[in-house]
Amino acid sequence: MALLHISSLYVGYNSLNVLTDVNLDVEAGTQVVLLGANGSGKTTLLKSLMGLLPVHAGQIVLDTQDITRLGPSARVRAGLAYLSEIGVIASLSVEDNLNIGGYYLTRTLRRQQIRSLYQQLPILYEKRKNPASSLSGGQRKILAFAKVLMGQPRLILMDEPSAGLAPVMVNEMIQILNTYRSHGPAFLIAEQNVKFLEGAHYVYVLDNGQIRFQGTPQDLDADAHIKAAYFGLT
Amino acid sequence: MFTYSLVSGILFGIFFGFMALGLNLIFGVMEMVNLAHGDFVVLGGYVAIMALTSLHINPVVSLVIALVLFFLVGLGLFFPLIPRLSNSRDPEMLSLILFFGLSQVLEALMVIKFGVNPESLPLSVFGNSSWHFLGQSYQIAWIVTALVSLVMITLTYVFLYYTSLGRAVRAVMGNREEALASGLPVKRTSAIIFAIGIGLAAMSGVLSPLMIGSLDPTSGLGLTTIAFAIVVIGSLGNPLGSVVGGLVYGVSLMLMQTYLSSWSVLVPYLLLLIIVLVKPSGLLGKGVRHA
Repeated sequence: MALLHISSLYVGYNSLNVLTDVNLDVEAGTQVVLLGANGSGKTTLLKSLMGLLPVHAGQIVLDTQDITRLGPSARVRAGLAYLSEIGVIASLSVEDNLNIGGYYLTRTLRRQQIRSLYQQLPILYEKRKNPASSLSGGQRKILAFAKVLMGQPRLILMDEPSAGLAPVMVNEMIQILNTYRSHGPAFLIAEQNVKFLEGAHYVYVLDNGQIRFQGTPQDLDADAHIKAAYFGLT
Repeated sequence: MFTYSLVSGILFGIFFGFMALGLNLIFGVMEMVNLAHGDFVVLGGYVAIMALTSLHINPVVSLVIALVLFFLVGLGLFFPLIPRLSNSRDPEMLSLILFFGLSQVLEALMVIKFGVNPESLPLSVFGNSSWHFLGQSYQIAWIVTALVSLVMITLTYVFLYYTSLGRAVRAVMGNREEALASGLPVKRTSAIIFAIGIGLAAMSGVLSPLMIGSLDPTSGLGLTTIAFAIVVIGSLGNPLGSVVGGLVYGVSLMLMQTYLSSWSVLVPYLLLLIIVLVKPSGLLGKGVRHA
């Protein structure tokens, strides 16, 4: 039984379906990349998983719990976390952002988590009193990542972690992700940057709201047709 | 004369800052202008007047009664009205219409219940002594009002900056979408802030007859205008802004009343005009909000 199990999901705005018949699984502790171009429906899928968009049909199961109709806060308590493209609340201090990420933890646990994150990511400790708006793009991403880790989720949904980042920072982000490979939470990473495939256990390709391919990164590498059609890679 | 205007301006300013606080909190969290704000202030005033005249309850007690009672009224209004409003096509525009309607309804109900004659609280409710400062003396009622206002503003500040729920409130004020995406209980936070906003409006209303002389059922609209001006002067959506806005308003009003008294009713509009021309984000604003 997969940690996250999505079956025949239809999601859209008003009566228009953006996602049609999406089936997707994420096993516990794995990193799954959801590859797709702009407008393919990646963000729509993540938002519907988080309860930010209503589901027209289908089912989302986390562990054994049907979360299809739950609101975002109930999903966070069930073990989901969402790293949006913005990722932080700019007007709040770094430490406030971390506290927001751990909103449902006990006070003691929250303090413990903050201390351990400061140790892993010293830049956050240096800037803890500063508003998140004063951070650079890369630092904001690190804060956003720390913020979702705060709540000790079982599955993290990441919306384009590479968006707006310099190539150096993208590599750093991938390195940080690699340190969580095989231990820690599972990840579902929506990306269009194929660099994120390096550490992935499994890949889904989303195009025009439908899953066009699924398999390991090696399978994708072997599939010349998909590569040429969606990524212009030869 | 100048010292007197300045000191009484500060006392009035602190009170008006408190009077506007609820409007600012509700706007900050919900991006809705509560046009019925002043009517809740007036209702708080009637609570104090009724309590004193028919039950001999001191306004100090009425402060607590008004806060608790209108906190509950706020909760009662929130759930049937606000979630539906938030989900509508144009929440900001519709909220103006809704709250304007609510204001009209409250005004009509007050006319039915209390009549149209102005009512007041005797300035001596807190005793007849006065406070001497720099050669001038000030009503003890003003001092008590300013102190109560200061305490309530401080408590609101402590709530926002030193509690977990307060942090969630600031997160919703900062970015509602992101707060929702972070899994914060945005609806519950909004409900609590709405209730606090209405409760604080009524609580400030208990003191309002002491500061503005008398109340009648139509006083609400003027108070809403003043509160709105104060909030815009300070900075919309920033609770500390109401204090700054209140002080600017209070001191300007008192100076105007001293030196150009017939023009003093213009003060809120004039200040509003100046601030919108010079610094549209408000004195404490960091950028223009796109509500």
